[in-house]
Amino acid sequence: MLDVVATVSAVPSGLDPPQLRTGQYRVSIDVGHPTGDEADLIRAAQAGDRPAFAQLIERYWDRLYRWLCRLTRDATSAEDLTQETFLKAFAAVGRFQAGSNFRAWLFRIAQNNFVNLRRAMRHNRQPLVPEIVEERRGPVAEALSREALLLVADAVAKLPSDFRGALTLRVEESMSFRDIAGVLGITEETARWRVFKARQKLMAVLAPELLPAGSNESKMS
Amino acid sequence: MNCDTARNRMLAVTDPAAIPAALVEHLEACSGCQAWQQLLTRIDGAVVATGPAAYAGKAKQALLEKFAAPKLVVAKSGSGIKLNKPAPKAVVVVQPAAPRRPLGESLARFWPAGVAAAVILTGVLIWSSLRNGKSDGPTVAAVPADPFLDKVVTAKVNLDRAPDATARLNVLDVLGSDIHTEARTLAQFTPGAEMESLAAMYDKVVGEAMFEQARGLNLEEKRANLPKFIEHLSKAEQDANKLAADAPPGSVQPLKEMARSAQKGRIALAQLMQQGQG
Repeated sequence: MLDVVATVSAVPSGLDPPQLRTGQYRVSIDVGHPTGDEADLIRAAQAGDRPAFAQLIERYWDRLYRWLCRLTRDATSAEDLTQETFLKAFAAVGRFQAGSNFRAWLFRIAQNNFVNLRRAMRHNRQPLVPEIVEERRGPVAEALSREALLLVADAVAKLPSDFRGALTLRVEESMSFRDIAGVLGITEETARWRVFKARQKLMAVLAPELLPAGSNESKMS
Repeated sequence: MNCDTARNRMLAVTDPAAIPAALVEHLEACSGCQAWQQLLTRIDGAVVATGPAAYAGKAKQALLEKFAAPKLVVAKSGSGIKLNKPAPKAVVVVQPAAPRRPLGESLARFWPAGVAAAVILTGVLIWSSLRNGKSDGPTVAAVPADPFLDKVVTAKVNLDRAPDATARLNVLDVLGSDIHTEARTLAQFTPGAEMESLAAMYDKVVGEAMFEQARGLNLEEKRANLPKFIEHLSKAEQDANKLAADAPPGSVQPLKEMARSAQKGRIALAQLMQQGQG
């Protein structure tokens, strides 16, 4: 994944999609496989180089933690799972196949850990505690009111975790449906369907609240 | 085109901001779907904007330090684990001793100095067991507090107090199990020298010391006690082999050696039983 910050200083006339506003956008480009630098780190880690693996932890901790927060809705559980994921990844890095997608492999381990945690929680009948989200300002945040953002956060939190996990991999990690499928252990079509259903559920909740009257009704054309 | 169809297509695309060509005509003619598509696009961005709070915990830094820290070099006294004569006074030299980092209880127990001290102490302990439990007084002092080391020290105390070979066998059996448990977790975190030390320690306990004690049992005691130890060693052997299959580089060989030690001990005890029956 390459992260690029692009600045849009003006929107040309005649090209005015409402979602494009001036400001800074983070553009994530999924390269699908480890870059040269990352491939070197992975090879070193496979040879037992612990500092090399530390660099991989540095690189992926925050992203993994953020996704696990989405899944668990609990910062403490997410932190524990993130740590566990890296320890398991280190234990298994020798079996990681060179040339495949390290990020998807790492998130797959995290997904397995989350499934195990969820199973244990069900067994102990301990509900996961919703975590308060942080509102980050930016072009999108400015385009929607604070109340609307809270509505979005609430609606996302209420999504079934399978849908929430797939949607956040798509929109936060910019993963392809193929990679989402790999992480979640499902087919590509199921991954696409889960993102579809997640968006559909969000729109069902949000459209009546956020769209002008009449805009949400469908018609034949 | 029906609005429902158009909206379902927009929901299914990878990026709702990129409108498929087939929908452009409908969107141009339908203000409702235009607004709907704009909201859909904003929601993707809003999901990102309302993400979890940035990570502010300590676990990341602790884990980074655990992986970034140079490995400790442990110098052992040359004959610390010899079996045939009293061990010289054990000396544990740890260099350079990085400060202990808080990484939760589970990681704190993997302090390598504790392992090294435990290896040396186990040598003393085994020598002690071969002298039928006669105490030789305090041998190792001023080593770091460590749960595993505590277990080894406890085993030594129990060996000194054990009244007979059966009791000593039970102590060694528990110690073997403790070493195995330690290796099970240590294998994931510190492959290499520490694991090799543990494997050597395990071999001394289950591959040699237990056999020496079992030889001192009479036929009835062998029949009553050895099957239990053989079963424990059999399970330990299987477990070590399984662990080796999933272990990181640096832990595989020590785990395989532990499996071989358990096998060696199991076979030796079984042969003792057969000899007794013969």
